[in-house]
Amino acid sequence: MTDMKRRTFLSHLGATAAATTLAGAVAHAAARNPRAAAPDPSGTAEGTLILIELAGGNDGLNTVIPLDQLATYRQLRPRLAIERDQLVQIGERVGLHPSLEPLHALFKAGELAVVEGVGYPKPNRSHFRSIEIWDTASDSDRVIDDGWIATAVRTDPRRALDALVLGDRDPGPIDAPDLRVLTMDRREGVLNQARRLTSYEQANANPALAHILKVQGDVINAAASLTRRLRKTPEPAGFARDAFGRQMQIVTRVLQSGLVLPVVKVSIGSFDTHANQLGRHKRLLESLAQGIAAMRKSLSASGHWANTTLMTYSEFGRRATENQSRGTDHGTAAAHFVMGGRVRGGLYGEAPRLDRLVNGDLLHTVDFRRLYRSVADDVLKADSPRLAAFDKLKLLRG
Amino acid sequence: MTRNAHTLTLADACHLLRRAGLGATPKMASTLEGKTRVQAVALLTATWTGKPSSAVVPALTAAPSQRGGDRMMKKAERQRQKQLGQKLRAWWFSELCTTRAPFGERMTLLWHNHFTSSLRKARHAPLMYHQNATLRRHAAGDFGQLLKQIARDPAMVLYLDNQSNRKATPNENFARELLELFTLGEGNYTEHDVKEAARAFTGFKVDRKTGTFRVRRRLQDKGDKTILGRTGAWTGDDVLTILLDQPQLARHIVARLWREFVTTPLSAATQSALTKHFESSRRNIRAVVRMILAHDDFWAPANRGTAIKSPADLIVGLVRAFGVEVSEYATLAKTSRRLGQDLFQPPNVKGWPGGTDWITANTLLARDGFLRKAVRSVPLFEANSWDALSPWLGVTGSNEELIARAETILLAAPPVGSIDRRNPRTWLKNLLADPSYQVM
Repeated sequence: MTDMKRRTFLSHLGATAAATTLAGAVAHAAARNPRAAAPDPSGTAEGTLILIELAGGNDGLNTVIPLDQLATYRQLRPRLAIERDQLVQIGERVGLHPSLEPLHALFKAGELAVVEGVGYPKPNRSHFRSIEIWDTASDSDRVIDDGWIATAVRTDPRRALDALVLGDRDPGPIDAPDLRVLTMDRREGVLNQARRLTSYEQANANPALAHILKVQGDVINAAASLTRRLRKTPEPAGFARDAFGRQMQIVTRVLQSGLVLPVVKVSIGSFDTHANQLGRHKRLLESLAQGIAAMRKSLSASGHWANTTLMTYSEFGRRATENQSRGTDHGTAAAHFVMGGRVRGGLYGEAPRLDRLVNGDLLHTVDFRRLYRSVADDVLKADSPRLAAFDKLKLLRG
Repeated sequence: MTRNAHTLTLADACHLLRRAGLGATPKMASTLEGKTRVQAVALLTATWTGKPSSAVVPALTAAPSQRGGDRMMKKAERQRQKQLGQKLRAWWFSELCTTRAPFGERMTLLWHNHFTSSLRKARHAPLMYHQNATLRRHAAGDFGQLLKQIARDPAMVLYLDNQSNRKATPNENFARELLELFTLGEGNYTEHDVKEAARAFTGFKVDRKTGTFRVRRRLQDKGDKTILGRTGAWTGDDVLTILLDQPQLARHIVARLWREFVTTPLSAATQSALTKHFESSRRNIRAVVRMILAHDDFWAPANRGTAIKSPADLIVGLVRAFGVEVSEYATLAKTSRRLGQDLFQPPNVKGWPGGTDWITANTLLARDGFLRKAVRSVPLFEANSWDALSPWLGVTGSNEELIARAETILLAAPPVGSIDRRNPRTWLKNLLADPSYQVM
């Protein structure tokens, strides 16, 4: 592993020089024509994938409730079960948490895919290890450094930026040294920071310095491009002023500015509801659904919704049985959502059987990497070797 | 060895201090300047007792924690451990910034990134402190001892799940990383070896009350195991002995050490010489490191200024070079985390990948922000004239000579941008903002 890593490291050095010149050329072109706000030439057809991390482990069983197993559900959740008449019924056999009412419109429009029973074999119940498995699309007992997105998205000098991360969580699935990722945790603070950097002539024979100069050039370039575009794009209306609402508002504005971005990551949490779950879970799901609905409305009006796909993920679901503190502990499988203008709405996967728990946990029916494969194939239009062994679900129109 | 008789220039001395110490300081650079390579290496690597120099928070050396209790008590305990974790990080940063034996700290950092464990899983700061004490005790000593102590280190037992490795339900996590990362490297063992080694480590336990290591014989698998072709009723210690006998272990470890100090590839001939030295010195870590540091490749221009400073190198190096007064070491630990290196909490079992991975768009901006702030705490920043350089450097000379000497100490590569030498303040800002300050 380590020797391998070293070879890759060394071979990258050769590649760096070429990439540097290209990025430099783009920077020059942009400088000459600062008013250009037309979409980047690259990959508009691929659209944007927005990853929504439900940080802390979302309770799938109180998010998507299987109507055909209500009796068992109530036994497992005597104090936490959502009342039948409160549920937002979608299709024949599934009810959503009442806070997700804003997603009902998406479902009716055929833009919401609900995938039940998402998980992986040999589940790990540690937050950091399990999110690492999700972030890297690895098997439970293998450790991989790079986020899975890095195997599906290559850096492209025609773009100003490869990915954008909102919120204070790690880049996670996008974490890879070769991708140009900007994190905007406090609105546009990062753009001001970048403005203070000095731009240098980029060629340097020292490989360490060459790398630093390349990244520095990329940051300056990306921030300048983003600043220029945002200046011309009004702040979209209709977003709640909570943390997730603000993230979704910035992403919406960035997409409306015409910047081409294959991947964006936003996050909301903490869903780690060990105690007194009902109130917190309700507020989080409300914020989630409102943010999504506001984005859909705004992007539909501006004509960007058709090329936008959103996908939720979380390190694990929670235990089927509620605990003594009116909460739930770390579990395994959970339902997830894929949404957007090109989604084939409907129910996918299979709800885990509540009367067939394994050590008190839900048995997953869909490997999470099948979701990844679906969006890698049909949104990012990319082959990811890491996902090759998993069949996609036909969640998207081609 | 005649070439090693060459005496060190100031730049040579700084190179050695950056890579094998914790950065170049005027005082240490002056001490090593003019010595031969062998003398300088011997001097730098000599003083290491493994004992921490500053006082340790008593709670870090106590039994790890109370167990059980109701929800409120558990929450309070988690909170206490979180604060202890901050104290633990602050303690190491104070060691790094103030130690008189930087080589030992460099080696401890290396082993922390080799035999990784994390607060996130061990959960108890005292256990991570204990592991750090073990790493530093053996950091430059007998690798066999280090390996044996780390296998029974409580934080490691918890981190890689030997705690739940029982005869009835073996857990392969530790055995796998032991073979892949700690000793042999991928491709030098089979899946079967992993399974069999895991059986040998069954029964390894941490007593959660006392935080001490125990072997629970009841949970041990006492049957025969075949590991790397050798069959017997092996225990965990037997497995380690078998591994230490493998020539591949020596090759793997010398390559790991090489990578820490030299950025150019390790040739087959050098690897073979280092491996022989490792074996003939009874796996003495210091002996191998000394051989690496005396090697021509270490001193070659292709190995100068070609490593990217880790966050710890950047922060600690700045504090040590300028004699910055630190009022709160916890702040340094927090900065290091923001820059991508949260000590005692590596990203995963492989540790920090380092190298070019240190620099991403986000960490680059964070580094820039840190240096802009930090430069104001450098005593020289307040200087009104170049005369202030003289006491700092410990030499006298013309302004040009003093500036040239200071730049040799502060930068491992020629500056990328132009440096404005109008006055000390602008000069210092320029130096720290230059990309060349990021390399060593």
